[in-house]
Amino acid sequence: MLIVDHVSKYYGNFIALENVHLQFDNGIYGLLAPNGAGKTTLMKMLVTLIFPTKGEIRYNGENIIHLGSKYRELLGYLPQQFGYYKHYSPAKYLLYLSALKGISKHEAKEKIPKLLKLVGLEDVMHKKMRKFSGGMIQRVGIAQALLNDPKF
Amino acid sequence: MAIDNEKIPFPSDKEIKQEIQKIIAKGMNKKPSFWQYMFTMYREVGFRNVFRDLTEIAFTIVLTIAVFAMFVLSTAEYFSWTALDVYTFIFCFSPVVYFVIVFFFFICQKQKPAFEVEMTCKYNVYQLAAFRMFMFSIFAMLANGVIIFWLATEFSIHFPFAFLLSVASLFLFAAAFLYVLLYVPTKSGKIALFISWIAANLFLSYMNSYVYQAFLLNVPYFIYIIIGMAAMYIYVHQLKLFFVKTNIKGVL
Repeated sequence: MLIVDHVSKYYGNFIALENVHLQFDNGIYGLLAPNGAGKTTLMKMLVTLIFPTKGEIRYNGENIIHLGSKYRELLGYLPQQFGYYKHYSPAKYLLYLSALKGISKHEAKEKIPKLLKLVGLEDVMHKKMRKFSGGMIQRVGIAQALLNDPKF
Repeated sequence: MAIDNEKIPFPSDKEIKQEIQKIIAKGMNKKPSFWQYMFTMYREVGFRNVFRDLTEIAFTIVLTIAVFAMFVLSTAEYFSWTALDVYTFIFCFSPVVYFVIVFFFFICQKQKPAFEVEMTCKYNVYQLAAFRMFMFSIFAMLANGVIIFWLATEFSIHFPFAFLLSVASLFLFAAAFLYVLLYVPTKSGKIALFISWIAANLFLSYMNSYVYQAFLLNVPYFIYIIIGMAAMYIYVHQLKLFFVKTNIKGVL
C-alpha cells in the first residue's frame, strides 16, 4: 500500500502541490486534473525523482526515500518525455536498463524478446531506434517499464 | 478441571538478552556493507554498463594528457623545469585527470536523454557515480604514475617520492571534491574548488617558492604516507555518504 501523507511541494514561493493526501491500494488509478495542477510533480515524487517539501510518501509504512533501491526495484516508470539512445536498438537499450534494474543478463535475454513481441516490436528489435516513429518509441518505453515486473 | 500449577522458571537476564538478539537477527535484514554493495552492483550491472561511455572517457583522458604534455614541452624553453619545480607541478596538477573525468561525467549526465528512466532504476545515477568515482580515482592514480614515470625519465626526480606526493595530492583533492558535491552541489562550486586548488598552490609556490618547495621536499616520507592514507580514508567515507544520500539537490 502506497500512502501520500499530507505532501506539499514548493519551489521557492511557488506552490506546486499543497497538502495532498492519497492512498493507493492494488488496482489501476488515473490522475485527472487541469494543466499545471501538479500531476507530473506528484508522479515524480512517487518515483523518487523529486522529494516532498512537507509530508512523506510511505510504502508499506516506510518512507520511500529511506527504502532507496529496495523501493526502486518495484517501480516501472515511463516519463512524459521518454529519453532513449538513438544509436541503440530496442534490445540493446532494454538489456542496458535490465542491468541497472538488477536483472541478470540471462533472465533479461529471455524476457526482452517476449516484451518486445508484446508491444509489437519483435521485427525491429535489433534495428537502431534512430529511425523509429514516436509511437514506436513509446512502445519501447512501455517495454522498459515492464522489464522488472513492477508492482506500480 | 485440574489446574496445572507447575512453575515455569523465569529466564535469566542473559537468556532474555540472547532471545531478544535472536529475534532481532531473524527479523531484521542485515544491511550489506558499502564494499559488499559495490561488489554486488559491479556483478549485477557489469563493467560494460557502468562505463557505457568508455570511448568518450578514453578520448577525454588522452586529450587531457596530451594538453598537459604539450604544456610541459612548450614551456620547457621558458621555464627551467628543475627537479624542485617538477615536484610543485606534480602536487599541483595530480588531481587534474581525476577532476576532468569526474566533471565530464556530471556534465554528460545532465544531457543524457534517458536520465529520468535511469534515475528510477534500482541502481541509479548516484550509485553509478560513486562506483565510477572510485574507479576513476584508482585510474587517475595509475595515470599519474605513468606521467610521473615519463617525467622521471625527462627530469632528475625521485620516482617513489614523486608518486607518493601525487597520491596524497590526488586523494586530498578527491575528498574535498566529494565534500563540495555533498554540501555545495553546484557546477560553480565544483569549478571553484578546482581553480582554488591550482591557484592556491601556484600562489604559494610563486610567493615563496623556496619555503613552499622546501616544505614539499622536507616533509618525511612517512608523513606523506599518513597524509595519503588519511585522505583516502576521508575520501572513502565521503563516497559512502554520497552512495546512500539520494536526495542531493543539484548534484546533477
